Amino acid sequence: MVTERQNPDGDAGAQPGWRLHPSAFVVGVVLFALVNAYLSFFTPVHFDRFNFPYRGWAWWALNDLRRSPDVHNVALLGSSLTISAISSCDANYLGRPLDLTSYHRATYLDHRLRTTFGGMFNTYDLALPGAMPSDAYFSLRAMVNCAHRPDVVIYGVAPRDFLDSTLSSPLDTEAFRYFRRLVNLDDVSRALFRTPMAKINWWLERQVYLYGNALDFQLKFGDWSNRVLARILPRPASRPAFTFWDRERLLPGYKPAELCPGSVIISPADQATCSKGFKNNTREYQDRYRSPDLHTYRTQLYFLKQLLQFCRKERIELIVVNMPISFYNTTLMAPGEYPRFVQHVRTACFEHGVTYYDLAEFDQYRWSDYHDSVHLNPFGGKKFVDRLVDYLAADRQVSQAMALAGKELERYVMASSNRNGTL
Amino acid sequence: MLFNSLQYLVFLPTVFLLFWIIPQRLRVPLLLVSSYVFYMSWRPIYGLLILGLTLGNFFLVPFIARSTKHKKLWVGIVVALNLITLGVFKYANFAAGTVTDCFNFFGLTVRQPHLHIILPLGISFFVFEFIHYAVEVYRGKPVVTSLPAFALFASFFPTQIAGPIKRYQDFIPQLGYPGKFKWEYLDQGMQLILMGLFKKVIIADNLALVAQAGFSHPESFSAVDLWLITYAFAFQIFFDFAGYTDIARGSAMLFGYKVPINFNLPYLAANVADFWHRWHISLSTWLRDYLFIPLGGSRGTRSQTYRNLFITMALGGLWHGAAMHFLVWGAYQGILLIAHREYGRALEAAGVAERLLKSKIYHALSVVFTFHLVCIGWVFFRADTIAAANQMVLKMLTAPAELLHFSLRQLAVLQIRDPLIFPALLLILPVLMISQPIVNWLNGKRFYQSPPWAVQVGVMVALMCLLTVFSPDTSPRFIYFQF
Repeated sequence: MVTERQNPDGDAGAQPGWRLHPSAFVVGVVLFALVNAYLSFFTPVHFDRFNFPYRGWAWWALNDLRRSPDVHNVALLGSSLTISAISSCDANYLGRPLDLTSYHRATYLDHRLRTTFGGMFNTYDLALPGAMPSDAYFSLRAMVNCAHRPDVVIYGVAPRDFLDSTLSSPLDTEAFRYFRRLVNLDDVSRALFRTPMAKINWWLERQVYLYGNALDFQLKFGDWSNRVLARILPRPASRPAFTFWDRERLLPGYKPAELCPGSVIISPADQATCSKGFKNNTREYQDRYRSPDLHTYRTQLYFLKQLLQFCRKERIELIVVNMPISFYNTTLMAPGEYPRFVQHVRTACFEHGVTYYDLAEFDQYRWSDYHDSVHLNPFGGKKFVDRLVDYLAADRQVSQAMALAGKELERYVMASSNRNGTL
Repeated sequence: MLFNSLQYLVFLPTVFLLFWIIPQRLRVPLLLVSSYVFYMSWRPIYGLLILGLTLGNFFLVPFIARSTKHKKLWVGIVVALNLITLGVFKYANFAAGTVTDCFNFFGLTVRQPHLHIILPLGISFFVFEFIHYAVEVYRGKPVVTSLPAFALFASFFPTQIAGPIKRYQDFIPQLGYPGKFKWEYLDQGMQLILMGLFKKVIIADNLALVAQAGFSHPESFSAVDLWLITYAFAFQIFFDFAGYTDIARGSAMLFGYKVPINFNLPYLAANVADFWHRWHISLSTWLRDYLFIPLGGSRGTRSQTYRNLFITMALGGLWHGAAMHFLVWGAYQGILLIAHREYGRALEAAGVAERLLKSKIYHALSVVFTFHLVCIGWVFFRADTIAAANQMVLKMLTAPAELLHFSLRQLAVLQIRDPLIFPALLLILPVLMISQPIVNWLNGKRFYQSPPWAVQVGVMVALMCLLTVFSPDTSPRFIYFQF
């Protein structure tokens, strides 16, 4: 490892007076390792793990939850199917447009739960568009980490969450990129990091402090640069502000799924408007179902089981619901695919002692209940909530759990009010 | 496999360790296999293309050397085969589109056939290396007798995708040197690689956002903004390609091989001819040796020389991509070179004092003027269409009027705060511009040429830390990969 400094054109040691030096690169690597070791042992820089440069659905959902002083005794998990059903139903129920970056409630569901089981219900909607069981698992763990442990979780699943051929790995979703900052992945790393490169990357993230915390350093540097630039080159006040929409137009590929307040509004709608706005998404779902990857399917089934186990460990009452989709949509899958999916989910729930309801009752929903072949509109959403609550009420064990959760929250709120002297 | 990817971070050290562990006779085969693995990691089927071209050239070129009567015919065949391959893969769609446009222009409605051809990475580079080999053998240079050495010459992974375009007389003899590991290989190689990654990841990738926004929506920016955006692109393309070349040279250096340099502070060129001596040197010398000189070079009349210059540069432009705006960019460079020659003649005829031409002020003004001419060329290079480039250039030409009552408040780039690179341009661009003469000055200093050991270590640690923190999850591909 010891070499002599040499003239670039000459041989080592050809000229007198050259000193012995170890290789600059090897010493550099050693020093780099020492810098990392120092940073990991003494952690002189403190980071806010909730900080994230990319404000997508997951960030907005968790950011609101973190800031919310309320206690939520019910949480909703799922994909856009759940959001569409619950939020469009709420928009009609409340009679006002809802901004989905800040609206994470389920008002009509709370109302139905309160009138059916008594007590008090405050549901937090953690469903995220495109979410797969892995995202649902991480989002619930993040919710619990934020000291918002719900008593009951209702998780709406659909075949797309397991079979989407446009997503190859749990690592691909926007939600995962945010939640991985908040949740320890050690126990599920084998299922997550599938390729040798992904494994090496995961190993490097854990071993090299600067690499593992690169995003945090970038954010710190970004904040610092912002402050410096604001002082040296302040934004001209006379010009109209550069908005989120301007950026979307100029740089559509930069943070492509980022949201800003006002970017996803769901408005009340009557039946005529819903029929007019019906969208044929056959092509999209043909692509999604075209070549489902068996490994992805198994991985997502694994994460569903992880979720079931986590809820049992945390003593959370989990209810898995097969979401309503049109029968037509199921015909876009390969023959036998849909029944197999239902069977696998049902079996997993049965094995873990978790309640499972199949609400994909094709005879209950008509085309007029859908925005497209899978997403329910306000009318379908209301029907779904009503059916869900009927199922919950009909199940003795679940019914007791719901009643208990309602009472617990009511008692808690009353106790808090007494403490604050507001009663 | 990208140089700025985790795959390469695993691949390169693995090949490096194996290379120095195994006996010397196995090193060329190892590099050959590694180069094919590197190439086929993108699309395995295209490994056959490079293999086919290698075998074709290896077995056909000796006929050029052996033939006494039909030398020209044989070299014509070999060059044509290489060019046809390049033409099919790179220019077939462009040619079909141009022919269709011609028919449509004359009122004949013809539907353009769309050929589903994916451009093989690096084809423009290795085809040029094969043509160079054939022409050099035609000119009397020896043929390569070792197939593995010849195959490695064409497929050597550090230079496979975007050059520098090697010369076989320089590269192949290096394969036979008795190789003994030296720590200098590691130190110098890694220095180049780290510096190249810094140029690509930290500078070029950030400037890319500015260019992307500016060139796709010129209407959203003022004329002065558009100049800033064009400067940003000028530095983006320079640091992207210079970064790639540094990594390529550094990777080759790890195995003890030297590949040619491609850049020599191009934005300090005092005229366009000087620019082409400093920019993409391996391509410009190739164009000179295998296109300009065979066309007649400067041997004929003035108009013939100008015709040769124009054709060389226009085809050089088209080499960068099968699109009209590349052709226009090349033609623009040709016109600039002709104009430069005419300007020189005019000065000579007017008897302008030599002292004035050699003065520092004249030189500095020439550098600034040349840089701006090159920047106008970059607009045609980067814009998606000629119409978009025209629109942008016309707006940029109104900048002097805008500057008469200019204030910083007018700048749209100051308004954008995410990405932060937009307002930061006002600080970064002057630094990048000033860095060029500073590096030029430093180049003559011993301290810079062979810095003290402690400085080398410090720079390496700083670069490792910066790259570890600021390497994005998904860095864009190198610009020159598309060519």
